[in-house]
Amino acid sequence: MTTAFTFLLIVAASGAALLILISDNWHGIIAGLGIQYLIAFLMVTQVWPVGLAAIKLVAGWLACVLLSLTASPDLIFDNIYAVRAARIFRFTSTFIIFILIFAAAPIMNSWLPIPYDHLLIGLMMIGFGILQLGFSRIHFRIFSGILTLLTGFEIIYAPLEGSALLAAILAGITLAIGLIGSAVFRRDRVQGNQ
Amino acid sequence: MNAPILWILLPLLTSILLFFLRRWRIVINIIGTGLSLLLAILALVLPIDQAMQPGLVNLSITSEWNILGRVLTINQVDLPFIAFLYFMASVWFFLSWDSEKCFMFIPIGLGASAILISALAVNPFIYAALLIEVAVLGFVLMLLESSQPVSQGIIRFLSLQTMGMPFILLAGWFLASGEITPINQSQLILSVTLLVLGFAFWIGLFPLHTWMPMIAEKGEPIIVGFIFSVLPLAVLFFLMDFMNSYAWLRDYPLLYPVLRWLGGFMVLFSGIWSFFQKGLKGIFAYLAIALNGMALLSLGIKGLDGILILTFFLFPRFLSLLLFAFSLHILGKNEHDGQIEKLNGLAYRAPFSTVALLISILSITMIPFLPGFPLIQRLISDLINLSVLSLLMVLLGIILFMVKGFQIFLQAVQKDEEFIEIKENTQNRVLIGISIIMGLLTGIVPGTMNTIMIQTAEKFIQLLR
Repeated sequence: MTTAFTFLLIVAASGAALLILISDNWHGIIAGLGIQYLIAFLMVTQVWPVGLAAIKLVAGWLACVLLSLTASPDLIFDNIYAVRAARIFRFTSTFIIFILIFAAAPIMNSWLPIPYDHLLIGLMMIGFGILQLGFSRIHFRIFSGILTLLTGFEIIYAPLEGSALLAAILAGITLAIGLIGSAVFRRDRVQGNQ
Repeated sequence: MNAPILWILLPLLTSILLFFLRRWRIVINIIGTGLSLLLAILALVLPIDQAMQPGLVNLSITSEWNILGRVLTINQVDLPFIAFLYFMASVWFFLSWDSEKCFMFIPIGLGASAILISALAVNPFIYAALLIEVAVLGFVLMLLESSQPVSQGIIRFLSLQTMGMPFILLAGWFLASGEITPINQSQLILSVTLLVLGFAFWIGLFPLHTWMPMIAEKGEPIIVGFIFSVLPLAVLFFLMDFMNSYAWLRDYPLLYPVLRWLGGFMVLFSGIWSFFQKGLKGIFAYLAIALNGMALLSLGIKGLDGILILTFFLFPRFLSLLLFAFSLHILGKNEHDGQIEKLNGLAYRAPFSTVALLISILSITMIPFLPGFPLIQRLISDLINLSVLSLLMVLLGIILFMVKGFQIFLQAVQKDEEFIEIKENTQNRVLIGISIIMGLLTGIVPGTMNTIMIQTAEKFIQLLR
């Protein structure tokens, strides 16, 4: 893969992660997730046939659709999360994760014989996903964190192993998480209305 | 006929059918319980890859089924485990007959059991990690149905189990590549670390155990009991499959001591945590963690002895969880929140539930004739020679559980002016009575009661050496 294209993908992955972490509305988070799945598709097509890689894109976007079916602004509203200091903190944490991953990726690449750009972008997504999981108790953000983490892992694992069954099960897991997220948000809304 | 179709596809399709019938609780209960029991019995009597001649019909069951370029294989050695898993499922399904919060339990439970069996049948076996994650997603849906509002424990359960899967898959890749090319020491350490981390997430090792008390607190006891009894069992068998498959993982000198330390630590910390619990539901979760710890400990004893203890321990483990969950279920039906300080007079109003609770907690404390006694006594005598540290941790944990058990007993026999309001009906008494008798028989004649369980060890031929 050309350096310019890799650079573009790294910038896009970071931008999508920042959008998910900093955004205050669910549209931004879903858009960020959608971009992440597009990046994952572009990465996986380097090592898998396009048809097989497309399963990831379709499953990911379908999961986004499922999440957005029951999403609403009150589901992600959090006073503490919205203040300026919290945003700066999240931005700084993202930056620290970014530096850590850039520092650790070359060593990890000596253990895992996969293309460096796969490892870098995959690790970035895993790191951002864990940040997202740890930052908030809001279900919408937790589900987007789980999906981000899984996407990162899929990018790393794709060069190691590729089969129709693997693609099918991973796509099924992504869809099921989207479905469970949707059910959870519906219950949250019912609870909120009561 | 094909074994994976019979024990995986058939229950999966039935679970889909039951999903549409979920409003008819009695119907799904009868079908779910009946089918699980039938599959368990068939796993005990049907031979695989051998021609069978029942009367005029020549029926033969083959072991393999190709799906999406991979193979699902159920061999003769897998059948005892399948029988045990479906037997457990049928008991849990049966007990859910009077629970109003279990609409999705049987449809999803049956499907999840089939998925867990496919996890142990898939080739290459590393795909099992993905299938266990699929089963976890089913468990989450099952818990969601009985929890309003959505408890934080369910979300944590999902997050932690999902985080465990990548570690296992990567560890599996490292170990599999070691079969092709020589692996160096740093790669070996890395793969073992990944493996331990992955299983720590899955089995609920401190501090990754927090989902267990949380779902026990908020969830329906029957559903939680089902998850606690089925999920760690599949995870343990998957771990044994790992150890059985890779010689250089088995021969890694630190593996067995690490398993013993982790197991001992799980028993110790669950003993400490349960000692400070004020409610029975919390103790239930920590008892499940301690039982998982005991299983890891027995796996940490190399050779035939460890595997024998582990397989013998599976039935008492199931009975402990069953008795505790059913007692909690009866308390819940009587609007009791399970707080220990409110158990005054329980022994007079609900003697069967009281005995069930006490047997459940005390069965891991080496009290003679209780279900776990012969195995824990054997485990401890092995640990004396292997690891003093693990032994001390286990003994301390056991003592703390014993103290907690006696505290519950004293509270239950207390005659206060305010007696607990609780009723045990005849069906409940019969069910608990049968479970107690089975438990006592397991403690008194363990060899006879565990003849089927011992056959599960035959799958792990390398570990028996």
